[in-house]
Amino acid sequence: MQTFSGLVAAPGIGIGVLVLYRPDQAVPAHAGAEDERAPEAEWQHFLQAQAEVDAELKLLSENPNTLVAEIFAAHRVMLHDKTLLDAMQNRIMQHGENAVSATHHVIGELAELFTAFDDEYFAGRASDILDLGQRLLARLGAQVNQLALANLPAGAILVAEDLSPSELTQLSADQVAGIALAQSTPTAHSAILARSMGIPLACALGYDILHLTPGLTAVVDGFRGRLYAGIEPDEMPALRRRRDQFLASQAAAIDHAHSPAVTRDGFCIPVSANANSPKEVAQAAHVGADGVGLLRTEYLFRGRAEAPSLEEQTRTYAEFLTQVNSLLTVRGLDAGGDKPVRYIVHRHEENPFLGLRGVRLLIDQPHILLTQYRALQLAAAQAAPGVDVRFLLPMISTAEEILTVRNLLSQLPADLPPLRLGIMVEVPSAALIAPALAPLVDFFSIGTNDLAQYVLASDRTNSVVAGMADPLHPAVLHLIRLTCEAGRQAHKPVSLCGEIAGDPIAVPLLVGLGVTELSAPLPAVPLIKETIRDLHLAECRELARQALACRSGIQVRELLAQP
Amino acid sequence: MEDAGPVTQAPLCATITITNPSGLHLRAGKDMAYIANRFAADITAENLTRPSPVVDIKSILQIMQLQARTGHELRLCAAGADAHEALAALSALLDPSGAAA
Repeated sequence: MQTFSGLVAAPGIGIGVLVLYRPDQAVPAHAGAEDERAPEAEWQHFLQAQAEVDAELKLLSENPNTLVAEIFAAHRVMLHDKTLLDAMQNRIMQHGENAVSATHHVIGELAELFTAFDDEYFAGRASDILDLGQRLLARLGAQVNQLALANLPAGAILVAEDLSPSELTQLSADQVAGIALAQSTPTAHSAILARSMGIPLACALGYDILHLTPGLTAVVDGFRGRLYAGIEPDEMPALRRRRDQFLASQAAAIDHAHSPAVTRDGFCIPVSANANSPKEVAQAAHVGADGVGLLRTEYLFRGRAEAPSLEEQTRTYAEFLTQVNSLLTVRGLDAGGDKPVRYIVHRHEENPFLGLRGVRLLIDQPHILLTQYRALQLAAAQAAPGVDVRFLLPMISTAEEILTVRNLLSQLPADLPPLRLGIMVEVPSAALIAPALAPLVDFFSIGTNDLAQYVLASDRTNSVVAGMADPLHPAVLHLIRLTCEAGRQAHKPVSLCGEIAGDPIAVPLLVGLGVTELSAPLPAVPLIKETIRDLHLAECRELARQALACRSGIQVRELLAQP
Repeated sequence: MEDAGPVTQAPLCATITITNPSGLHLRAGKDMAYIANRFAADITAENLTRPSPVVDIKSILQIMQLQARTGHELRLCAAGADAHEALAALSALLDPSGAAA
């Protein structure tokens, strides 16, 4: 048996038959010539395929993962783009080409044009065009010179250099037992998607895996970041046992989703869901979430001419309070120059990430803050008892910001009890002075996505440095530890929201660092609860101690992958 | 905005600076094409900072050809009955600080 070690990207254990995926550049097979049709019929053939691809993309653009949804929403716009359609119509109607050949030519020319761009980002969009072309060709019935991902043998262990989000979404967990990638990182889109689809994935395994023989029996261990290939019959039973244990725990997770998550030594860690929309709030209770631990309210404010009124917000929050189990944490509008809202004049900023955003904007535009808080207060007053209602301030970096907000809120009528007020800890300064901030707040909520970006000075949306913004980097872990310790001493809950709260591999570490509540992406909630039930707090603390002594995020991941 | 006048045949033009931190990437380009398509006017753009062709911004595939990043200056021109409204809507989208207004 050969063993390849890489990084943990999506948990689980997959056993199956090795399939190599090596996409060629779109070299058209000379296809489609067998059935001659009149130009008008070819054009109709194309329009039919276009409509089918549109329906596919529409489904994909409803993905709850907003990153993924936006990619496919943009593909949909390209599909209806006049430049593409004019070129297609010209080739088919004026030059009598068939739809398959016209698609090959038009997509090929556009991709070539983009590949030649100086700017790396825009040149990289050639892959989006090729991706769209592959979808069209598949619907046109052309022989695509690629291993069709949709037709993989059941139980495949897919080995590839890397996979695009589009390639990943063609897969299903029924077909693909596991994915092994030569490159990529645990923070890449492919890892996020694989986790949400329940497919085990190990990445950064090295290029040698691309020379393995297809057809070998292979195993992806998504807990340890390993690929095993060419497994001897006597090695199988142990691997099968590990896989079956994992599957049993997954089934148990769904069965027990509605029970609390209590560690083996009796500590309860509430697991809530993050929600970006009313739909996700409504789903939270169904997946067994103990509440909504982070309601991002930006959706309420964006894409409209004026801010939502007090009445509208009160109605909205009141409805949410009837849906959630025991917690609703509403985050104040988190806008800024990088996330603009139409009715707020955003001044020009050289660096909006370090500009007037989050709580800074709320202080600058106090009517938005006051209306939102008052609406939640009014909704809470009507709510049934037993739901904990909290208001969360985004992007706090100083104590003065909290005091200013408290001062502003004191202007509101005193007829209703104040809401529990907490802060996002996502700027390093807030974590570093957490002991001083703790008495000013009712709870902390650590936002690991932004915290990692600010600590490591790396933009998650810039592919060149995105891999550096690793929320498991020891520098981030030290700040989480500081915040938890401050919360513990002041008897204030410390919640953690962000992508890693939904990663079962990271959860023992987070609990060991002292996080008292988790708020995870919606689909991850049952597995996170089940993961917690198997933990022992003392062991988690020892794991955290070792992780804090690591020197890199990769070392931390290696530590977490150890059996 | 320059050349503002009642004659709708001559294009109205405006120079705006891209403030979106990621430039006119796929998502921003999608929004731009969406807004442009709401108007009857013919609307073109050219990147003044990085040499680019003059493109039709009702097409996202042409917008991408501007390779526009944060801080780049674009020259937008619109011709048609609703040219003025089109430029105002696009300027508001691309440069919310309103430097071009």
